[in-house]
Amino acid sequence: MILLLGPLAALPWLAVSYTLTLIFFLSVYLTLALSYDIVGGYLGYINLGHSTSFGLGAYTTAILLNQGCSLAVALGLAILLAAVFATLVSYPLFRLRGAYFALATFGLISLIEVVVTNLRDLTGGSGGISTPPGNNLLPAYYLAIVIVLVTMVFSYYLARSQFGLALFSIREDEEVSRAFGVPTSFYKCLAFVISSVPASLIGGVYVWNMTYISPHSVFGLEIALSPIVMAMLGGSGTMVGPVFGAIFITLVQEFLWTKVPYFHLTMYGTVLVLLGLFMPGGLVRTRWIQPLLQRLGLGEELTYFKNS
Amino acid sequence: MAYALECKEINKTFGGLDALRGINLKVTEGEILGIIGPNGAGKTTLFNIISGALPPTRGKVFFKGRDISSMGAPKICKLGIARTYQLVRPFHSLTALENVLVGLCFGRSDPPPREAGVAEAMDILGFMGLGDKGNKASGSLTLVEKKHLEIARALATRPDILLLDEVVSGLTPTEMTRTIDTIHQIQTRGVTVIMIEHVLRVVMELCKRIVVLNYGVQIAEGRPKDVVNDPKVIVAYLGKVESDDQEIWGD
Repeated sequence: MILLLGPLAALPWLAVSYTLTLIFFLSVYLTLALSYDIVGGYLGYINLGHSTSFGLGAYTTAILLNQGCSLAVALGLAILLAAVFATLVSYPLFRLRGAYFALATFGLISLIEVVVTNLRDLTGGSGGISTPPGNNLLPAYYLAIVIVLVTMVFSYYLARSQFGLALFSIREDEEVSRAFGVPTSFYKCLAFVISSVPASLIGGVYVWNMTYISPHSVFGLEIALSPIVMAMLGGSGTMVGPVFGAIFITLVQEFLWTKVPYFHLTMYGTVLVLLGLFMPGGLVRTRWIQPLLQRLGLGEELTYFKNS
Repeated sequence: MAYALECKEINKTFGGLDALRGINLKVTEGEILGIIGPNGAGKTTLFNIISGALPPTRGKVFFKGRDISSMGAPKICKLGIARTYQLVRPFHSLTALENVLVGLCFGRSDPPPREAGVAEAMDILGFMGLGDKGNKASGSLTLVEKKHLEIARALATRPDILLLDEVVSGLTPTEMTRTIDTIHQIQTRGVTVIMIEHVLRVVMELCKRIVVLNYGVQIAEGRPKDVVNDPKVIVAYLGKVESDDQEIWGD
């Protein structure tokens, strides 16, 4: 662990800010992928609208920072607002299942995007919103890394908790789960709200670092789908899956972007299709990664619930 | 004394279809009651209503004198009614042990602490003959093992009443004998058992009393021997010879 954290902490003195920005973005996506997987992987409900929390968190933080709030207050209120919003929408959303749930959550993004675009006095409309200028890259870098680590640890222990067991049982068979005493409706809503917390928090940190966001940048397709792709290609339903997926995809994107200009998006799409075709369980469930995980003492990650 | 379970005038309609009509059932504590009937008779629907998966259209279910007909499935399970499924439904990607743990942690009103829970779950698996399968994904078990796992998961909730939906159908005669033994042992531990079963050998061996359903109506009730000789039951299973045909054959 120290082997990993040491270089990350020392990196600002060793590397250029490009690398820092890259790792910052990786942290943002990884946090989103991990928190998405609480609902998408553990609970088994594909939540395509996970970036709604991210966007709400980002906008709330931006507005509050402009009002002169401190960062901590702004982030706290951002989490609160996103959690309240998640609570309100979760009940009607969870009346749906499967593809219908996925589509409804996807619609949620557009809904909030339209609202944000039209509340011009508050949000700056489609022109976006700027926060007080300043170079926050270094603190934002550390903050993002801390958030990722906390989310990872949380996700790891969630899978080993009783609540995690309940989520897995709901994913496997909701009706049977109910018949064996699991309060399914309440737990589904709870999982949904919990997964909104890291997403809204990292949204706030994102805007603090970037100092500018527009409806397009936080409610766009890229931020909505990339974390889901990372979680799925890495291996849904595990903590290590999204981590591998996010790192792998970020590296592939970087590589293609620099080595195959003009065609990088085409190549990126091809890589995704190939991965989906040949590694249906995700990267971490392949022959090459499994022994590595076992050596790291994370072999049990691959079984779904880890209580045995 | 209140009955362990009592159904009063249970009716269930799905659209225009009467799945159950006026079912009255009294189950005394500690007995093994058999429910038989041809396919589509409404046996599983009755189980769904007792366990709270479906609400009855009319009528009431009483558990130890307490009205449970509008309680949700989780609450009924905690009160002490557990079930198995006709087409086995373990949580496939979870291990056998975790399957039992779900029942143990959520299906009881007084869940044990974690360590004790895991130990007890292993005990239950051992009792069902799955002691060495705890760490196997339940989806990879054989049919017998899955059926036994379903019973184990139900037992983990410490039920007063166990609803068994065709647990021995599809098993070989040897496996059947073992399962019958197990059900006997469960009964001697003080659990009331209600079982739906097609295999007559099992019903004859285990049940003192049988209820026969046909097209959602209770057509017979009594000791196994009397019931299988009841003309109404024979007609329900084998059909009636039409009088016209009889004349043809009579010629």
